[in-house]
Amino acid sequence: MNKLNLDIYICLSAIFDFGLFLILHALIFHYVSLLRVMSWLKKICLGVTILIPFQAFGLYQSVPAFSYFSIIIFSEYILFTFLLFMLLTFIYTLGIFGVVISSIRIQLLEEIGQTKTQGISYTLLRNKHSVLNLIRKRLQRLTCSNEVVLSDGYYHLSHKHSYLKLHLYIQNKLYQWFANKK
Amino acid sequence: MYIVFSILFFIFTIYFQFFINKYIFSKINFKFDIFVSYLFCANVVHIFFVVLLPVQTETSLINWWNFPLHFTTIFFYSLLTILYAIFSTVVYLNDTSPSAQILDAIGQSKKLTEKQLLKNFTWEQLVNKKLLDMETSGYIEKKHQHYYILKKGSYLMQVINLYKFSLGIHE
Repeated sequence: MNKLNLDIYICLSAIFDFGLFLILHALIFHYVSLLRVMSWLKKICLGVTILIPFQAFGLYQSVPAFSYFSIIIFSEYILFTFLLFMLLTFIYTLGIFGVVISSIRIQLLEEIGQTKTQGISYTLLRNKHSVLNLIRKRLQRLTCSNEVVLSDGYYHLSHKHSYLKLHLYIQNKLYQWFANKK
Repeated sequence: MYIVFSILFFIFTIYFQFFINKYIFSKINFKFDIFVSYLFCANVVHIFFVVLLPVQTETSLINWWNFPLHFTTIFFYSLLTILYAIFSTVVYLNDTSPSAQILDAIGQSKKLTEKQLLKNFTWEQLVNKKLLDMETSGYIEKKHQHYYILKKGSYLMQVINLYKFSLGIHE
């Protein structure tokens, strides 16, 4: 087996792991509170990541061609499967899950859609989606996932690294490069 | 190997985009949104690598004929592009998520009370702008101070409800 076939194994393994992540995510989320979704998403992601070296070992045992690979190529397989899996998970979290769970647009659309042909008045919409409610909900979610800590009535950032901080960092960089802001 | 190539392609494309935006597009006052300019650069990078630089590796399987068509490179490069599209759309719409804005505000002031935090947000910026966006994109319509859902909006809602149902998500 050459490196070309190894690449295909990497792709298939990452897609398989991502599929496993989606199945676990669909099963577990039936029992998880909406406030804890982000921390559970991380736990599931970590759980599947731990499986990757075992998956590599399984392939080593079952696919004879794998046994010809050196330890470096084998580590490459683990590293790139991990990278590809994380990329798929990251895109899913940012582009699908995050949008459906927290997007204000989707919440508004849901609200308007529920009224069907009657429609909903601007005033009612404004009362239901007050700034205070929107921000409180997000602060609750951020404190539950330990991204923000509340002490003595003050909110401050926790020291741990997170998806959202990375998101913010990349976004600020893009602003600096292309929109000359910040 | 292909994955390493696609990462290098992607990094090179972003640098190329940065260079072209800073020194060419801005000089000729040509306004591109970030993602369109990225696509432009990605195509140039692809043509450059594929046509002008035949790539030969130790496996001899990658050459300038089959290299651009290889599944892994395209797959990985596309994933990076999608990720980049998500970020650049946010930058283009000048529309950061409220959670990211909260983190940003707290990060800048080190510590904030809820009251101080609320000063950073207005209803116009958080909700009204989004209603206007949805109206112009044809998801909803406004008649006599009332909002109604349109066909495009109800199709999207059906898909979202199905997704939420499969995950058992409820408020």
